[in-house]
Amino acid sequence: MRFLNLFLFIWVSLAVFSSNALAFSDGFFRVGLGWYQQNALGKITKSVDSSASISGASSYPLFIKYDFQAYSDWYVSPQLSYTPIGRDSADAATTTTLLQVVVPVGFDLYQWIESSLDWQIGVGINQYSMKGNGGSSALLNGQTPTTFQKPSGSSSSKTAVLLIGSSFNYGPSRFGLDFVFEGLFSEKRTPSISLNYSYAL
Amino acid sequence: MKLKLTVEALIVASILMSVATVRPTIANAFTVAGNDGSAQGWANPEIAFLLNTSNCPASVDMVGLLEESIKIWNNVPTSNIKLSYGGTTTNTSDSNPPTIYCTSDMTPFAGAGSNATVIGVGRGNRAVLGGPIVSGLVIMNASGAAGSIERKSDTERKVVLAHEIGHALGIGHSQDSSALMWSDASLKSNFLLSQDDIDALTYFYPRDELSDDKLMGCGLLKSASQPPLGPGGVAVLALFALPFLVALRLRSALAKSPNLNQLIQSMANLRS
Repeated sequence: MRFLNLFLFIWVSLAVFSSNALAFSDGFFRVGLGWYQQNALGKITKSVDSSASISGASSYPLFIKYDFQAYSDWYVSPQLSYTPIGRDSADAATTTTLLQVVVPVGFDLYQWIESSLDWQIGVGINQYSMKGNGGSSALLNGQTPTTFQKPSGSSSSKTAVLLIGSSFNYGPSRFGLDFVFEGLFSEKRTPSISLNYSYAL
Repeated sequence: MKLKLTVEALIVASILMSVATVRPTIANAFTVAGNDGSAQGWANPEIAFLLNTSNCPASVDMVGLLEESIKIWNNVPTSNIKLSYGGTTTNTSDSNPPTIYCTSDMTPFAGAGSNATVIGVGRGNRAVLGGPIVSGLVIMNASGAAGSIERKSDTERKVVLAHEIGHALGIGHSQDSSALMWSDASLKSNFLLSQDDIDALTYFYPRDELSDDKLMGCGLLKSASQPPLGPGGVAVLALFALPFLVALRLRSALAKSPNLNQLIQSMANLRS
């Protein structure tokens, strides 16, 4: 929640101290950092009574993005994200890293005198790579403790995603809020949320 | 100008400081059922559970309970597991497909005193150490004692059956108290997976929509073979390429048609 509060603070600050900005800049690379909430908005529980949690599992991807003008205010902005610091277990038994490739089509929604807002929609792939570090742990099993093995292998899953998002722009800075859906056409449908900041190089 | 630069520098600095102090801390502490951490799940992720209801309490809708319990695993987006109800059986031992049945005495499976304390037991068996699961069994307590399923709430029954099915799929107990695979179901008043459960299932049964798994869960694209890049992958690549092709086509059209270019620019100027 600390990160979310910070993000909202920055968003409001920018609305007050805005400067010349275009949502997309043709031929420019952007680099940025995100706060990715996997399986958010009530999809998982984080409490012992299994009540639903609004937030998901956090990870922090770095990303690079390239703006490519289609025509007028329409842009194609392919984006590659990766989490160099994986999502670790509390006991460091497993580490999960995320690699995401999305190709959104974006549109400059509105430009004020000194700032702008855009939206984007696109498809992509999420690849979650999980690596177990092995070992064992004694856990209650029925009435007595039993030794359980921690995973020592690796596993990788790839899911197609739909990204829908909006960004607020201030000079070379862009602050984005994206919704990422997996399993869109089935009961597997799950939203994840990305709050992100990027800077035009 | 100076004020704007200061604000921007403060924003960037505050973000960097926040990230430096916040690490991913989700508890992800699932274990593997069995004696080998590298052990696998079932070779085929499509598993149709058989149900032996001969000892089950008449007051409990076992088919409905099973369908609710498997749905929670089926809905994990990063896993290719596909569980279903495969019909009735008279079997009471480990089998392939796995059997679920009710017993009037939990003692042989969970030890002395378990009729009052253990609601269910589940297991998946491997023929070789580290190999895939070849048979499974889920036993539910129908002893009439305090641990018996007819004396539990609907939510607790679903939690326990889904938990035991998790064992039959190869997942051990979790160190995360919010997980469905936590050893104590008594504190759970809702029926929901934790990220740890999702990670455990994904570890054993990862989904691959670039190969043979259905794209975004839809049933329209399906490959019969196992090519390196299946139809799901081709479709995704096509979707990736489409915006580029449209953009290139538009640019080309605009370059050849100065009037059209002028018109679009005029419209853009009007809007802004």
